[in-house]
Amino acid sequence: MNRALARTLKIAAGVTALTLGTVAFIHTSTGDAIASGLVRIAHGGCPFGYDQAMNPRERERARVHFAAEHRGETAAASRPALGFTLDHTTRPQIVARMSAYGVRCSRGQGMSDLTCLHVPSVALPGNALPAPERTLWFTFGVKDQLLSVIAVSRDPNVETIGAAFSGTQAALNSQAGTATASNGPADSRTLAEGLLRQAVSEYRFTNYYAVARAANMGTAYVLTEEYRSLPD
Amino acid sequence: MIRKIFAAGVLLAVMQGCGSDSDSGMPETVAKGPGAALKCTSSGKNAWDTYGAAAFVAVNESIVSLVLADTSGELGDSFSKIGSGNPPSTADDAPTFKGKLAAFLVYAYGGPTSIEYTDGKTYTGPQDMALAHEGLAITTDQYNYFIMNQVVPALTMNGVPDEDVSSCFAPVVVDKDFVASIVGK
Repeated sequence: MNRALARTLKIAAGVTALTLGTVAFIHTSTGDAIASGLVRIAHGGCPFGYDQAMNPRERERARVHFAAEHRGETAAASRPALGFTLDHTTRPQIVARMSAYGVRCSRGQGMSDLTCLHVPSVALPGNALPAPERTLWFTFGVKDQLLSVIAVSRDPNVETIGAAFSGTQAALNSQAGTATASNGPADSRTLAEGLLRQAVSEYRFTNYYAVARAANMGTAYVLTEEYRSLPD
Repeated sequence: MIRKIFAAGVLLAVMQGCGSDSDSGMPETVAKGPGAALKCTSSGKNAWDTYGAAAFVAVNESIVSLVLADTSGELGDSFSKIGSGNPPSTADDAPTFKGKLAAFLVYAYGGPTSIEYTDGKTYTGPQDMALAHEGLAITTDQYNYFIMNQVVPALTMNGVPDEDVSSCFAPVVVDKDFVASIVGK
């Protein structure tokens, strides 16, 4: 009887400890992240996160994670971001500017917090470089400050995308600093040589990351631009 | 040619990872994936025959790493924990997820319809892309971004030359019917 009671008490204690431990773990940042991922998977969502936007706290943590893998060795001379100011421009300011130019923005999904479609260059502050209409994906931190902006534009004409890439590359070189990695010229001959042929310029600094890519996607040529603030 | 096929396989694998687990009902009678007939410039053979299992595993792992680093570092961190057994309920999730991606990749580029991945488990390659992406509302821009910034870099960083990306990987992922099975669902 005593042995059975002791066994029961041990099992109860073990279950209690395991439950408390699990609850405590889930309330840590790592545990919370794992739980979120598992819930997404269990519900058939995208575990990569394309289908759900992160909250600002999660964005900030993701930013730290990204910086750890992409940080350079020196600070950028300046941090161009399509005319916006990283860590300062706020979501309301962006929404107001886009609205003034008749651009439609909506709450983002997955990789963005705010998505703006068909953005002409003229709608961007500071005489942003000309390019075909852009789709813009913005992310924001806990103070609604701009953390990153990603732009995607496409055009059936290789010269158009090639020129936009070259302009972006030149602007980054002169404003942020020399590219830390480059691959392939964006001239029409090179891009037209084959499917998914790419030209890339990447910029890694201690406080800033940018990358521009031009690619042959078969039915169109596409330019992607990324501008990210890296935390200290 | 080979390059195009490889890229396509990679994409298929990753995109499948974003959908529901719908492969269990697929018949095993599909012999070859959409990239099986493509020929890599470097070898004259398809991507699977050119690069083999080790390269496909490496590319699969690279894609997962690039996606997680790029779009959801937090979840990326969680994935680095999944499989560690801490907590115990996470023991097999990451390998299972990666295994499904790898199986689709291998199949799409000319490999077998099922594989044993690095976790020792067997995964099935043929999967319903449209069903897998139902409700995700993936846009053309998102698709292009994913291909340009995660799939192609995963290929090239693992030694696939530009010529093979174009020849034996790309045709699958830029095929309009394939794209239509993923975008806008």
